[in-house]
Amino acid sequence: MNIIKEKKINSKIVGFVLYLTFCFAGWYSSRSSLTGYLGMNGQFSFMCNDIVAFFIAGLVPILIYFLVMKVLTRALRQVAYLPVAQMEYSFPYFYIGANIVIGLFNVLYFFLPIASIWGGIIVPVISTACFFIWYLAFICKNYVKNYNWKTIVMYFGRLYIIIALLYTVFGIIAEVLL
Amino acid sequence: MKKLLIILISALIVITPFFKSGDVMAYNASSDKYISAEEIAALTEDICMSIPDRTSFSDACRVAAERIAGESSGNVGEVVALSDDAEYLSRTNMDIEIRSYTEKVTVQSGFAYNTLDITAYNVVATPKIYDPEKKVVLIATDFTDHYASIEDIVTKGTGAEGALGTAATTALLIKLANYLSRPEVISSSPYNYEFVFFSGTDEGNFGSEAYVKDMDKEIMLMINLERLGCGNTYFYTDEAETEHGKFIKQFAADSELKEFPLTGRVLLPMTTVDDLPYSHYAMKGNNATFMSRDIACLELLGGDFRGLTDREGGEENLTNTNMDTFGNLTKYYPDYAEKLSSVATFVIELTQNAQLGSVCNGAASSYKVFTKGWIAYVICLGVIIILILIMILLVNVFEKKYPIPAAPKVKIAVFGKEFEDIDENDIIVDIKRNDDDSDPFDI
Repeated sequence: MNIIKEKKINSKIVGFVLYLTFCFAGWYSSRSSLTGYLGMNGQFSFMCNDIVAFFIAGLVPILIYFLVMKVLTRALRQVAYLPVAQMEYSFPYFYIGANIVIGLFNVLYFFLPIASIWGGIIVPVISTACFFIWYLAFICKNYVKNYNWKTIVMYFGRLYIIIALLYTVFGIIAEVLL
Repeated sequence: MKKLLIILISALIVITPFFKSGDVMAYNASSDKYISAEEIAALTEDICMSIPDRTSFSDACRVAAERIAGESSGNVGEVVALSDDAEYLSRTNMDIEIRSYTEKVTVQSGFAYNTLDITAYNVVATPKIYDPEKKVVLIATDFTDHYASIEDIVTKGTGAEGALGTAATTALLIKLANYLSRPEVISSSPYNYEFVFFSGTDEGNFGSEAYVKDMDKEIMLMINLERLGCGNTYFYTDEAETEHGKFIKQFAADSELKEFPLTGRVLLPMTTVDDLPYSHYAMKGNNATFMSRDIACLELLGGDFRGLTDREGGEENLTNTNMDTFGNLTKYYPDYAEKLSSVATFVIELTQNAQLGSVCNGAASSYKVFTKGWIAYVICLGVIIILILIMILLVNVFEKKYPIPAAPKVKIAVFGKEFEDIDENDIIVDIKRNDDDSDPFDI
């Protein structure tokens, strides 16, 4: 944790590692999509391999990540009691952890494809929730006065829950209707 | 005590063999071939030369179906093949039926959408000797290719006769049907047979869907022959372990057949088997239709599936390209007919095995609960509810344990500080005049 507190690693390097973990976490579904759209089309089948699938998997998530972080940090900069700079720096470390767990489950799907149906839905929610709780605990403990913990948990907890709820409700609608 | 132990161990040794699962006699790959490679090669060539255009949903599909069925231009009779070895379905031992089916397709024409009826044909061959006491083994293949363009369903023709894609397996199935329907073979066989040549497979398994809609028999095992003769020959049964899957694995143990690779299997983002949100290369054929109806299946498929793409195992992928000609088949896969001949031996010996009937208990169903994504989403919803409860609990705990400190009060001391109740955090603004005798009420 000292690495995070003392900001020992350049944030660009952390960002690159985050991209690699996004690749690791998304690789399994990326190889399916890539095969589905390119592999069965003879013209581009040369691009259809695990290496391309790995590096493509992280592109969209990392772009969305940086975009959302930019908007959020701008919006939160005005809140006096929030250590926005520290929060921004430390968040990728916890996301890296969540991605590694999701990626490890992908390795399991590699051997047991049937597990990917439930695993692909449940594991990201549980993994990101656990690491997000850990992240909030880290932020509260190190940068926020204890009488503000309640506000932090309520504000960011609600934000996470809204995102997870949207993901779940859209998933259920897609499963039932489509 | 010692005696008791000796008795127990002896008893165990004696009874253990009775509890062993039934050993399956593995098929002997080197046994005599029932169907020679030369016969298969001759018929494959004949199919490629005489009915190169076997495009589904076209007139050519009907013409091809008639030739396979032993008819010629609508006249029932022996087809004159290009060589003596190229014998089509024998009407002596089988009832052969050409079944048409019609599908509705919606086609865009400018800004308008038109719904059209398109027709294709399946060929169903049933041996004349049929024992109602015996279960039915269905052996099938796709006989159509993509030779011509069909404007109605906007498909572009390859101009190739689908030699590897379907002609070779069509030849194999014709030979198998003719062999297995012989009176001396079928009388001693533990099962009945049905042989089906499907059309419309690549377009969406339309032929097999039409077949199962009118199916009047209970199928014990469906064997699908798909693009054989190239690369390795794989067998695939189901997504989870089944009794017939285990049996076939043991049966194929000493042969060149390989189990379709589970590890690293690439999942295609499309549904071919009902309720399964993905498919893979061994699940794209007509076996998917039968798996959806919980029928035990065996897919025999040629190729090389070590990577992400559907490779055939040679220098070039021929299937569904303009290279899929008979010339290229013999050039790139000179031993294709040998491989098909081995597959024929495997299929004949497998379907003549009396043990097979007791292990074919339908498709695997134990995994089906895991294919329903909505259940996983409901679990997610449960996790989110737990998170909400944890959040409420934490907020309450923090509120009690770490209350927000009271904000300092500003007190204005009009009569002097000594007249005010001063707390630790209070800020006092003393406005009393400095002259000691002053009386604030003395104006």
